[in-house]
Amino acid sequence: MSRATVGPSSSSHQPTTTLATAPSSYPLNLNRLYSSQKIPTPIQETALVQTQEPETGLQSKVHFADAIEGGSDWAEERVSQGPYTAPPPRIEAARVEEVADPSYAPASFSTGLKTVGGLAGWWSRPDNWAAGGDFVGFKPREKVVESSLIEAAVRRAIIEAFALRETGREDDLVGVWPTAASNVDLQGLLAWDLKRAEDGAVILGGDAAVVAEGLRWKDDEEGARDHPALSETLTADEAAALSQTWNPSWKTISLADSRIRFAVTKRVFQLTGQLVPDHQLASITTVQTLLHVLKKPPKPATLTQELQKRHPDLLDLPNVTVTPKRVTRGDKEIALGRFKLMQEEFKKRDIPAYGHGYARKGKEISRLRGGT
Amino acid sequence: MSFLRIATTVPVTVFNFPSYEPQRLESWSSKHLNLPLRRDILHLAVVYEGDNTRQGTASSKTRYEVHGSHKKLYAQKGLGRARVGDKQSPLRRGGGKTFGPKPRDFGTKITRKVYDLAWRTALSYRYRRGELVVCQDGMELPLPADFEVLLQNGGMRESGAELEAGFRAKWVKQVLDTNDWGRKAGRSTFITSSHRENLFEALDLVPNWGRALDVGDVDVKDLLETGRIVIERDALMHIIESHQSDLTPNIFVANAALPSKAVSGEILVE
Repeated sequence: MSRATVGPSSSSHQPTTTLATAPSSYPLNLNRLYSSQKIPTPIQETALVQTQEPETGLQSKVHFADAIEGGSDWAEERVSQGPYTAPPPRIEAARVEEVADPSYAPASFSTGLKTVGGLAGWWSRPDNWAAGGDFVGFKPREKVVESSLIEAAVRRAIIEAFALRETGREDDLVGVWPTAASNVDLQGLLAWDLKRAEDGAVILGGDAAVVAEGLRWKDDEEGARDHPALSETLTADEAAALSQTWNPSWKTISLADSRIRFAVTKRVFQLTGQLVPDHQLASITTVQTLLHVLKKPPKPATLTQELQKRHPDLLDLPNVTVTPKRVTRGDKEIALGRFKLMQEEFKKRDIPAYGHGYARKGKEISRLRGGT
Repeated sequence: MSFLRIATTVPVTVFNFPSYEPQRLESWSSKHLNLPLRRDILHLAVVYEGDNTRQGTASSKTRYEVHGSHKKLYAQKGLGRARVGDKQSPLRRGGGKTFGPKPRDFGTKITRKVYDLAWRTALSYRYRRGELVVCQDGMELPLPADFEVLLQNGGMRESGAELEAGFRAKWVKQVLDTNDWGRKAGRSTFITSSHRENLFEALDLVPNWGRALDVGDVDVKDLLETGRIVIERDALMHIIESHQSDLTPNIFVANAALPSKAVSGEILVE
């Protein structure tokens, strides 16, 4: 490439000679700054050039120097839209033959030149992608695993679902409900004397209309789905303490009604991130069975995890060693203390201690992408 | 006396995509989504597909196809050397290959009813493991409105496709990770009834997070791979309807009131 590409941050370090031939008539807030008139410009800009008197190179140089020193921050030209910020427009340096200063010589080595950096990892910089731009789904980011919190969420969902039914809002049962609730409100709600009557009816033990009203979306909440996690509103200890006061008959409340069951499981999924698998839905007939499904700890992903969680006594056995990964030849050498000697010999012979040294993984991939 | 009664239907939750909000509950036939696991039938189907996907273009030259003269190299006797034939002899360097590969069709056959059963067995296996996520029709990955505006304003015009692709890649990763569908959750296969530009392009950028397939490109093997299947309801219905030859009788049923086939997709809760 004969033309050097200069990023915005290094523009102030640009030799002023390269700017000497720049058309002085350019408004400084242009999206694109050309350093030469030879490059075709948009129609509006050429019109501007024609209407203004031609200036000398010196004058334009002064103009640009002023502009740069006068606090025109190049970083300000970055295009922002909501939480996302695009990089500023590219600035291209003048070709050698276009520079008026005869003493100007382009650099032939990169040493000493300022590195501007590319666009790799642009979106992983927090300035360019604010937290507000992150994807927000239906379920919370963190899955709730404490059983007391799960129980609290189920109780809350039951009260809310039956409150909606009591107030006759059947359509809202399958909708999305706001999750915002203060600690006091939540504790008050959970402390209701929820129980099952002899005939199977549900006695909420509180004012259903108030709860049902709280499940309406207010205008200011519209779209504000980034709710606080349940664990932030209520601690596991608080939930455990509350559960001591609950009437045990609430666990026998029937969930046989598919509409109520759908509403409850959906709400629990929204609050805790715990989803009841479809094939288990049919077996959920009471609150007790629902809690049993939700509280079941997930299967450990690896054998090591299982041993550490469920059989910690095995780890203490004197004649048993547990390693998280397969024991290889190298591990045996390290255990014997032979690897240190081998490393010294490797060093003498200029051989890498690990791997092949000369060949790396994914060489073809990096070549395909234009690397070496 | 009570008998064990197997449910004839199973519940299926239909989710919104990509928010993962449960929106509807449907009942699907057990003959479609709750068949017993038959590893043998799945094996037959996967082997059948593998055989039929083989390109079969390997080719080598016999001694009669190798270029060159077929003259005897030198006389049979009198030279004190080993006897030889022509230069293309398989014994010689540069000679022909004796029983080398020739282009051929490796394809095998499978009974249609067995293959159809394999499709539904694979889906049933996923369903029972909780790895079948059914989504509303029109599954497409929406990009944030702010980003669309940024694109239209030309904010990224000069930065090229790289920056835009970087955004899409990060966005789809976020969507998948938030829903526990991503790399840590063992990747996902997304199946839609037609090509969806945003979704397919974005997933092409992050192959370690998942893959997207048009329903026409799906095989039984695809249903058994990756951590879960996220499938559009339409596509699931299409798969099942086109793979139930073992359920629909070829004979004429006189009584029209009798169900002639298993019914799926009835709405329970909406």
